[in-house]
Amino acid sequence: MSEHETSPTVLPTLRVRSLGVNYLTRSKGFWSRPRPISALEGVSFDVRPGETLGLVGESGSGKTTAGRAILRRIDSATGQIIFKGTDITTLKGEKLRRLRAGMQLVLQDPYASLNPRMRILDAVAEPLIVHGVVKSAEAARDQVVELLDLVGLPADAASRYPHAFSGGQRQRIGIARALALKPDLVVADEPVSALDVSVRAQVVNLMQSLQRQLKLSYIFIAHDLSIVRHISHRVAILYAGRLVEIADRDDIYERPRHPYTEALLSAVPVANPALQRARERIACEGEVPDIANPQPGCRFASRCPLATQMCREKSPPLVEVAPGHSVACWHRS
Amino acid sequence: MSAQTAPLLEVDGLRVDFASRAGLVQAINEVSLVVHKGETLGLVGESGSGKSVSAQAVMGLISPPGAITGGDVRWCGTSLLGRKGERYARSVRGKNIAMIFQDPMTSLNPLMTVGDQIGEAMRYHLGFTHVQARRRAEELLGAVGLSAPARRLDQYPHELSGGMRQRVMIAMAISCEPELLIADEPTTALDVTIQAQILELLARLQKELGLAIILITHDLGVVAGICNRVAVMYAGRIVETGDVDTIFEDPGHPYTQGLLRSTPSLEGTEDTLMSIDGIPPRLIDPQPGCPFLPRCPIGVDACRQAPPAEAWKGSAVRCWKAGADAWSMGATRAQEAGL
Repeated sequence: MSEHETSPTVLPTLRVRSLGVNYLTRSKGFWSRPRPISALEGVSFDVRPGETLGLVGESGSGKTTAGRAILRRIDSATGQIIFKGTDITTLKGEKLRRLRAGMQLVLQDPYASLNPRMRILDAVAEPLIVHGVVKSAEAARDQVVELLDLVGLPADAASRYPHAFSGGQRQRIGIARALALKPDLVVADEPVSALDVSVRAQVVNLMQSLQRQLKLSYIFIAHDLSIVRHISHRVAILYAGRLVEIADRDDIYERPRHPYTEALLSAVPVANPALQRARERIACEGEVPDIANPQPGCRFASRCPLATQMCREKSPPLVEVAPGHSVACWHRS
Repeated sequence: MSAQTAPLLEVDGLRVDFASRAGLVQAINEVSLVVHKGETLGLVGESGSGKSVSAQAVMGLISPPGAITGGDVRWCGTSLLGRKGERYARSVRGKNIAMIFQDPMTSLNPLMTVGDQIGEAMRYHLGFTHVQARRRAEELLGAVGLSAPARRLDQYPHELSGGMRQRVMIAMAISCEPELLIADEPTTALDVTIQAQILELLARLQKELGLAIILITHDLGVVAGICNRVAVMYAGRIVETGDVDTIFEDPGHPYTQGLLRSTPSLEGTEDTLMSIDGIPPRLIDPQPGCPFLPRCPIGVDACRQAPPAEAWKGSAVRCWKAGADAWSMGATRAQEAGL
């Protein structure tokens, strides 16, 4: 943990400042104008070299949107994205294309994210060809075999097709492909949630050992809080498009400040019968609000046991309550 | 729990095969389960382990190319299989045994209102009129914690959120006051805070209605929370059955031990997660002997013969070396937690 503590001399790999993303939606009626929906608002965080930031939230919280906006796959409406000291928020064309080599994506579903008609060699070599590192897949064979070895797959995997591999092996292939261009940052969007428990551990261990070997930074997007605790150095909690709490891993899990973080942690079932039966769940009735029709104030107010009039009127700012620990709550900061 | 009384459901040496172009797939083999009144049995396993197929066989949902090719399913001592059993089964399924499914998005009829769907089983099994069924449906929606139940009756599934749809499914399942509820991954598609709400609802209904539940899940945390007994499945077989506390503290089968240790804890104490190398075997042309042998760290020659169910600390374990510490990597999770 110590090497990841805040040190001002180390330039963060990624710096995100008040990032906001809007999606356009068409309300009823043929002539109606598209209306922006704020899917993400005011999200700020840093990711340092060799560090994993866990991005946690329930469905619709904006975690995938944040990942995609950082990778510049979708445009952001507000804020800044600074990658290795360069503002990349509005990069275009060739510069944006070249930037993509430095930041890569690992996707959730290893069954849907590999083209069934491409050999593993072609799939892993594709980014190398696109970025002009090699001329053809055959020319990249040595590099591909090396990458496959890195993720624990045999060399003969290169000439086979995705159907010959299990879910865990496919996820390894997805990781090899993401690492082909030697990125500094990998955004992994629910990389293990489609995998079975015993295989999940293999992939998580692989990701951790690759991080140490290659000094990678990860943004690990997940809804499984126990996996996030295991792999992350820092954890950010999103709720309905807003960042509600961000802190070092142990602070989040042992000293949660935001009522939503508390409710979320208490809702995770633990695999220990005596403990699980004795645990008290912090009530969190109701459901996630509809972000298409946002209410003023804190987004969690409708489900929050602490909510007061102020919470329903004014949105709380993200405030640093302890070194490296920020919370957006009127009552807890 | 109530070992003296006759069990509600007995599954005895059940086998289900699926014919495929590549050969015969043995989805489940020699699966035996007993469920007593009012208890919760957790059926745990990874994808393809046969947990859903077992439930579908009980509910009579196996259709070609699948077929039940061996064993028996008995409800209160009477078989539900065979020509005579089928007739009896029709009066039992949906009434005495009800089922809820994983995906509330796809398992409700999108063209029927919520009220009509809930009322359907009551009209069929209990002979309710449309008006009676509607009145009862409204009560049920209130009982499963939906707000404004009267308004929900005329809504369609697309107007409801995932958590609300799962509540509708549960209302439908309990409409005929079943004695056994089979819940196939009821919370897998839901967010954790909603999952906690649904699990609390199931626990409350169980207490109020004296319901027995078979809870199918891959999440060991869910099992730990609400089950009394657990059956662990691997490659179509039950490898271990026992009391929930015993299984989590003293797992007897190497697979159960591995599964528990590869689950990260919320306390985050482990440096590296233990992983079970390899992948589950293909169910086409299964090898004789223990199906876990290729991945088992303590496999011996004897394992080429299928192991019988051995007694181990009150559990039944299908392993020649039941209780041996298969993954000698420090203390087990339970010991770490000071239990």
